[in-house]
Amino acid sequence: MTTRKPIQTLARVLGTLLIIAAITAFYFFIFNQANSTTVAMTFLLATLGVATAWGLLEAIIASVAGMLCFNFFFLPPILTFYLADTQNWVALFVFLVTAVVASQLSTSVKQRALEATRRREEMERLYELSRALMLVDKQSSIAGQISQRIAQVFAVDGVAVFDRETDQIYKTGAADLPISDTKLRDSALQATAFHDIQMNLSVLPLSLGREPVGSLAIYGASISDTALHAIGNLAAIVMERARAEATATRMEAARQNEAMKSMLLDALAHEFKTPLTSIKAAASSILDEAPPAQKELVAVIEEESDRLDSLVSETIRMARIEAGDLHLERRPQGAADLIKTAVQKLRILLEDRDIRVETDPALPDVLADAELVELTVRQLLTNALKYANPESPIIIRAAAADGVVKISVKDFGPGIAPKNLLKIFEKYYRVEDNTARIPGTGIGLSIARDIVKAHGGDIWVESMLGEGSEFFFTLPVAERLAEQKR
Amino acid sequence: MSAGKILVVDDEPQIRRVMRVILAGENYEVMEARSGEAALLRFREFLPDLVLLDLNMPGMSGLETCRSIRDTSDVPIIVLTIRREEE
Repeated sequence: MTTRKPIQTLARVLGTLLIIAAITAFYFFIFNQANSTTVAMTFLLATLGVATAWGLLEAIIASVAGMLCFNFFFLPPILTFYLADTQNWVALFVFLVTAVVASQLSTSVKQRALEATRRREEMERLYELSRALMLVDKQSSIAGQISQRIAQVFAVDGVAVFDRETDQIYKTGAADLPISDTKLRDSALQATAFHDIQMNLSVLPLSLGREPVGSLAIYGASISDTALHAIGNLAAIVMERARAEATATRMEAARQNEAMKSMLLDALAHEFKTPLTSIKAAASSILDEAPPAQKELVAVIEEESDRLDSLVSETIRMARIEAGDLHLERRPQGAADLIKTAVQKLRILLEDRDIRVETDPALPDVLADAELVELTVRQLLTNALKYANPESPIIIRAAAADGVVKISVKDFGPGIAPKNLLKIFEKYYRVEDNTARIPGTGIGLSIARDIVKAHGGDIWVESMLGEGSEFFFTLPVAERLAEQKR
Repeated sequence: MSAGKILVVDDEPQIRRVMRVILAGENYEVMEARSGEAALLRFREFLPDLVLLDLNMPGMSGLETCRSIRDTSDVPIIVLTIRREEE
């Protein structure tokens, strides 16, 4: 119910009495030949009017005053309150009932109209809020602006918004909100809402069905639950959107960073390769005319500049993959050929090593990017060379298994502690004991993993400290049935 | 006849190759070993006048190899290593 000011009520009561007095005066002094029914109807009309316009209290006063005046001035014996006829009691009763019923009806209609107006106003405010929230400044705190906008638009005493990401509470209006910061935080953390009707305080978590992004407290406002819910959703949307945008910005920045890196690498590769080309050309031209004693040294120059050249290419390639630039050109390949090529490319390093290649003669072809798979095999081989005793053999195997071909590189090196078995595939991770003794970047295995995963395969290692390690990876078997049928 | 016997210990084949060619050109008799373990074996057979020893090798390290040789011999050992300053 809307509360009324006493002054207003008093004025209305006086007004009611004035109306009754005016009717009485009109019929008594001016239009005195009117019959009592007309007069009674006029009073009834006045009572109805008062009941609809002002309410129950005024209506009862109108009905009682009207009845009294009717009785006193118009019913015989005139100018007495004596009721000669019992019919007049009926008239009084009718007046009263009319007054009550009419006022009740009008009150409920008015109430509904008021409710509708309130709803409409709330809708308008919600719309205004949503527009205001769409225009929040992304540079400063989103939660702070949400708090301000809600306080502005809904004209409430106080608003507090808790932003979970920054773990900050932003308050607008009343400095002493009747809620502790802890409670506000709890609302977000436990996704609980509560209303304190006495305090006129509502607290609700801000969430879009998932983990709440924060919570909201509104103090000193009569806002319907529906509107409150809508405010909460709006705030949650704005906060979620701000978060998503921030993530997108960060990703874009990272992408640009990677693009820069890529450009830099290309430039660097060019810088490295230019002198290497000259060295190689110079060495090649000497090679033919060099005296036999020097021929071998020139050959070393030539071979090593070749090796350096392919190392530069490979490093660039790996840096690109590391930056997320991994495009596969997959074709059916023989796994044995891939292994052969990889070993061939490392032949200078493997020259005097005991390398055993054991491939199943009936291996199905794999669907793979030849260059990248060779890179993976070489990576595993180089690792074996780096860590295992030069006197020990390295065994490369390939075997078919369940829709995949499993390729493995086994060494008899120091082995890997169980706690490191997964970590060694992480980017930049290197087993601590090795960081000083054996050069490396910690990128190789992570790239091998990226390549294998991109092929839809798996990569893992089995190892025993002091015994050695065996690295495995799988590649999907190429589906050649379609081709064979044609 | 030869200027002396040198044992070259390095796991990198190309480094051994370059040293072998250069030293042979200077009339030294050269024996190669690709690991510390191999170096100890060769040492006993070859009895070099000088050992050129790489420090960073997988398996038995250069330092361990150096100590093992020192246990039995006073032969001069020159340690070779590619190591960055900051390490």
